[in-house]
Amino acid sequence: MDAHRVVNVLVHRRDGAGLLRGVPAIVLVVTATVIPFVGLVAKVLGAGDVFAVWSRPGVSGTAWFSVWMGAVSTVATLAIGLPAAWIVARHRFRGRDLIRVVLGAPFVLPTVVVGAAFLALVPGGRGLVAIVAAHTFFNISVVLRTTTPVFSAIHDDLVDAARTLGAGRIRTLREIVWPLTRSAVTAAAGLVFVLSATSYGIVRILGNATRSTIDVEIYRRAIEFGDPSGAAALALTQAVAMLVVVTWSASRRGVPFTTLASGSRRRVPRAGVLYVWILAVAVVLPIGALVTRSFRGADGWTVSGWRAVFGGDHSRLEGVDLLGALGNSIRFAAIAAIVAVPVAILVARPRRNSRLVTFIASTPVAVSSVIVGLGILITYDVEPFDIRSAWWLIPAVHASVALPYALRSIAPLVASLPTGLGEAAATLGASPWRAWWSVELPLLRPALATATATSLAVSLGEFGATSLLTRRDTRTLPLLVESLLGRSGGVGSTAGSAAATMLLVLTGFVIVVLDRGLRT
Amino acid sequence: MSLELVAIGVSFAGHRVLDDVSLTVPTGHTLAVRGPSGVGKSTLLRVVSGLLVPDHGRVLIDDHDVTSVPTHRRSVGFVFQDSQLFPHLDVAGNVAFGLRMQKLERSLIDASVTEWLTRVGLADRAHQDVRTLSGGETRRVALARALAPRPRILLLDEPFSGLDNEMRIRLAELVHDLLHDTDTTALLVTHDDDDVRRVADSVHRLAAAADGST
Repeated sequence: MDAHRVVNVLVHRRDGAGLLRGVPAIVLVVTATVIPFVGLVAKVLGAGDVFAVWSRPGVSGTAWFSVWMGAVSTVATLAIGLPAAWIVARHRFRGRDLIRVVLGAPFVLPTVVVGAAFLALVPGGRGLVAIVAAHTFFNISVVLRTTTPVFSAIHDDLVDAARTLGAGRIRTLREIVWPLTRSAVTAAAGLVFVLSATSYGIVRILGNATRSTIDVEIYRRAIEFGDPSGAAALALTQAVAMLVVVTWSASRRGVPFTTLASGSRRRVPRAGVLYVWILAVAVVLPIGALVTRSFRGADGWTVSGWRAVFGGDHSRLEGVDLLGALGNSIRFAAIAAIVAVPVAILVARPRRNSRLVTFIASTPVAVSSVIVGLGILITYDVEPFDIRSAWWLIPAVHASVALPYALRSIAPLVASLPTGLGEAAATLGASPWRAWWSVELPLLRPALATATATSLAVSLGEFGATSLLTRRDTRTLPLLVESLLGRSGGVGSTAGSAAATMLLVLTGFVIVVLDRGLRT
Repeated sequence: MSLELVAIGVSFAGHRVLDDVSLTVPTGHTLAVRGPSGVGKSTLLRVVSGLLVPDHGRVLIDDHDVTSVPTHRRSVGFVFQDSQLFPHLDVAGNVAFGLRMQKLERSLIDASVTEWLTRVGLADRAHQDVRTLSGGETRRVALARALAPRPRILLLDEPFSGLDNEMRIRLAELVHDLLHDTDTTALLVTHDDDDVRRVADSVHRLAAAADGST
């Protein structure tokens, strides 16, 4: 084989032989997730008494709190979110698109912003109520995203058929709607439970001594108590438990069915529309409270918080460097997107989703980012691999965390691209590179815009892994927010709210402007 | 069971769909409702079944006003255009559904399901997945499901659409025979003259509502 042919097989072939295309993704996932996780397991196996950490004060209480708080958050989220998802999925009414956007938005918000918002909404509100409320706020968007497609696929006539056969509202719900939507609802419940039980950023801000999750305990053991073995043991237990929950809830068998939704015929129930409007307002409320809080001091309206974070008041907030953190956040986000998006383009294949794509796209649910951070901390401490203090480690981890999200935006569109286009370009004399550059890439533009915006947003909000890996010169905006809000005194929370508002605006800008602007 | 509609009027978003529609179907008769598309034929069936409450007018079954009786207590069978079989229940489960809603004894339900599956020629398909049935089989299950609970009135919305001609004739004959054997009063919506001849005793023509807007 001549060199040209080798390149052709490795890079361009569409039938799965384009092996090289998957290499960057594999390298990224293996070095940033797989090896650290293996290192974590090795650490636990190498430690003398794996279970010793469980007898330390507070540890089992933390685990128990994670479980029951996760359960309470799940029940609250489903109780509030499912009716809203049902109404939005099955009825057309004025403002429905707006409500979809508003109710779906919390998912892309950084967790520390959500935490800061509920801290602002409920003054002195650290504790169970604030935590559950924040999780509900965040996870309603998860419920909406996962259940709406199934809800809208149930034909009105199918429900009507049950009614004409003598089934009342409750029986129709129980005997027709529930069996058909059960698998989607169970999967959503599992996901919400895992996201709540392994919550980290929100609990770091809204938790207290008795209200703390396993993930926060992992951080404290690793960083504050200098007990990496104990942290690793907790991390492993958590990872296995959550993997079981996710696998179980996603494997509930559903009845696949396809019907065309009519949607618009049914008269819209006024109470239902009122409900989703109230919910939309309730979702905006904490955000409004956060922005307001950033201008409120002990003596009324003030800009002292904003002045403090911008370095105007060094005497009262030592070591705060907003511009530095802002610079780091933007730099890391840019690097993460520049790495993650091309890697995702390379690994996405036409016509089908390979196992590699499926595997990568599902990793963020399976492993929480605190565990990724801990794994890296533990694993890469041996020369010549002692890269824990390298500045580029954080954007690299951000890229690996963002990769699944980028891939989810790109893979479906790539898989649906007609292969004939590239072939047509080839017959017109375009080289494979040229065909890709001038035919396929322009077609992928909307997905690339979404992938870029999502990668930037994920990096900007990343808190779990970053909090374990950061050093003084690599602090990011979320870390600054958390540390400001943790300070006692009014200026801390005002300044923290200001920093959180900055992060909110930045994320909103990325999602709205970049996603919309790059699409066309 | 006779059916009588008195001055039924329905508007959607200011657009008048049914305008003072009145008709009578004597006990055991089958009335075909004809008319151009968009004239409100399906809407009329929805009014009779209680799925839609008319803006004005009354629905009488055996001279009793049922206009405000909810669908599930009205005992009006409905064969939907796309059959709308429940995908999570097998053939027998679909036919048994209405009987279960009447809280009948298990043995009675089983006997009735067997009887109805035999009548529509699907006795050997009781435990088949409904998503694997052919178009004609699907319609027959829908028919058995609607008739098994012994409805007072049966409504059929384009029950033969999308079938090939031979299947269409056979199914129409089956419907005709079943309605006669059970002495069921029925309303049939169709756009096919042959269907009308094969199944119906009389025809009601729906004209477009007099005024497009109110």
